[in-house]
Amino acid sequence: MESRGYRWSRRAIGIVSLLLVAATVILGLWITPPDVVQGQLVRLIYVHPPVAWVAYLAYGVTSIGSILYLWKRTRNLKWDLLAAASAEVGVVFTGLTLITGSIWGRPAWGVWWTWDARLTTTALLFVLYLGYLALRRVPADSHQRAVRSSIAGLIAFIDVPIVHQSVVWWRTLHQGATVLNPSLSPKIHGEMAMTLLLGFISFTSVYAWMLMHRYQIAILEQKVLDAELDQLIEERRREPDSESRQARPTNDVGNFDQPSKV
Amino acid sequence: MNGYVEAGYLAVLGVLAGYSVLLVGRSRRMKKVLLPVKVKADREESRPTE
Repeated sequence: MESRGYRWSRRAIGIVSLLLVAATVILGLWITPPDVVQGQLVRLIYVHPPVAWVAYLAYGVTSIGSILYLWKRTRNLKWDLLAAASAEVGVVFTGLTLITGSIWGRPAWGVWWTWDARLTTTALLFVLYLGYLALRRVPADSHQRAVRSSIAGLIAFIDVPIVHQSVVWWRTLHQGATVLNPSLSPKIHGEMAMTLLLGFISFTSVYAWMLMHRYQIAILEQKVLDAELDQLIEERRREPDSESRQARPTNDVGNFDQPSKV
Repeated sequence: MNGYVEAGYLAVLGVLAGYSVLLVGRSRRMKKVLLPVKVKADREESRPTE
C-alpha cells in the first residue's frame, strides 16, 4: 500500500489547498475592488485563468510521463500511470475552464458560446484528452496500452501551445493574456495581482493533491489487476491437464521500480 | 454582485469538491478490494513448506 510519508504529505497538501482556496474566494469575491471597465465581472479572473493554467500544467505532466515511458532507459509503468492520472485531473480543469469562460462570456460578449479561436481550441483540447482517457479503456495488455496512450498524449499536447497563442495568432473575441503576454508585462497590479497570484498557487496546490490521490488509485487498480491475473493463472495451473497446457504470459508489472519487459 | 460571478465560483468549487469526494471514495474502495488479496498473499507466504 502507500507509505506513511506519502499519506501525510498528501494530507498536508490537502489542508493547505483548502485554506488557500478559501483565501482566494474571500479575496476574490469581497476584498478586491471592482474593475473600471468590467465592474464586478472582473472577479472571475481570480478563478478562470488559474484553472486554465492547471489544465496546461496537468497536460504537461502527462507529456513528461509519456516521454519517460516511451524512452526505453526510463521505461516504467509508473510513468504511464502518472500520465493517465494527470490527464484525468486535467480534463476536470479543462471542463472548468470552459464552464467559467462561458459564464464570463455571456455578460461580456452577449453569448454563452462562440466559435472563437481560443474557445474552439480549448474545446478541442477537452475532446482530445477525453479521447486519450477513452483510448486507455480499450482492452490491451499494460505495455501496449501504455505505448499507444503515451503517443496519443504527446499528439494531444500539440494543442496546448496553440490554445495559449490563439489570441495572438488570430483576431479573437477573447482578451489577450493578462500575465503571460508576448511583452511579458502584466496588465494587472496591486491587490488584484496578488489575488490572481494566490489563485494560481491555490489551484496548483489543489491539482497536486488530486494528482497524488488519482495516482495512488491507479497504482492500486494495477495491483488488483495483477493479483486477479495471478489468481487466474494459479487456478489454471491447478487444473488436472495443466501440464499439457502452456502458461500464458502475464501482464504482471511486478516491481514498479524495475523497468517492465518489452 | 450580478449572479454570473457567484455562478462561476459555485461551478469551480462544486466541481472540485465533487471530484475530490469521488477520488477519496474510489481510493477507499480500492483499498478494501486489495486488502483480502494482500491477506491471502501473506498467508500463502507464511505457509510452511513441506
